[in-house]
Amino acid sequence: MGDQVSNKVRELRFENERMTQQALAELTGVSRQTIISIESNRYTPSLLLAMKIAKAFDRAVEEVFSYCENGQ
Amino acid sequence: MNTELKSAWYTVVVVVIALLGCLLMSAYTRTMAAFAPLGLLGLLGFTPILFRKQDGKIDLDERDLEVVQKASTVGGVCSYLAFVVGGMLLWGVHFYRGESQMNVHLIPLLIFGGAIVLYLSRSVFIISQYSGKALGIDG
Repeated sequence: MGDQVSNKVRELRFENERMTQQALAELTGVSRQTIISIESNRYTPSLLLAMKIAKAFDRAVEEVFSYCENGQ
Repeated sequence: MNTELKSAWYTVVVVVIALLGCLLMSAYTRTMAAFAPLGLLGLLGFTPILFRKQDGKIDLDERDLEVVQKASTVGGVCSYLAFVVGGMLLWGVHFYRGESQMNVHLIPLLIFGGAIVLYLSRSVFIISQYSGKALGIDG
């Protein structure tokens, strides 16, 4: 398994008054499908989008996204 | 379903209908008239009008653009391969028959065939990317 970027987007959405995927998508300027893909670790967002997502939750990028070497 | 996926389906449907039309026509005539259904490909020109971006709606984001870029590369490679393979096949057939000259009308057909392969492979790739399992991109 290769290197992977995991995230806590789903958890953070629920922590933030159960923010919907659509609401997060609108806040970050992407489609809901992209949020779904990010949450399920099937799409690694660009640095810009990662920062937008972190800002939407008022967190630092490294609190939302973490780098996993060899899928650990 | 975003506009790229809709236009990809539209392209596939139009191209398949045009090719099936050619196949049917070729059963009746062996002349160039068999290629007449290819005129249906002109319907592809309506794609930007039929699938306009809706105001205020986020339709294409970075993930979609990535899919479109990959699809364009795949389409370009496939059409180039089709063009080269088609050219080599034509040459092979003429060489096998011992013919030293080739009908000049085959050249635009070869280029047109390459263009069809470009649109079809690009669209099929886009559809496959949004199918849910491929390359981690879902619909």
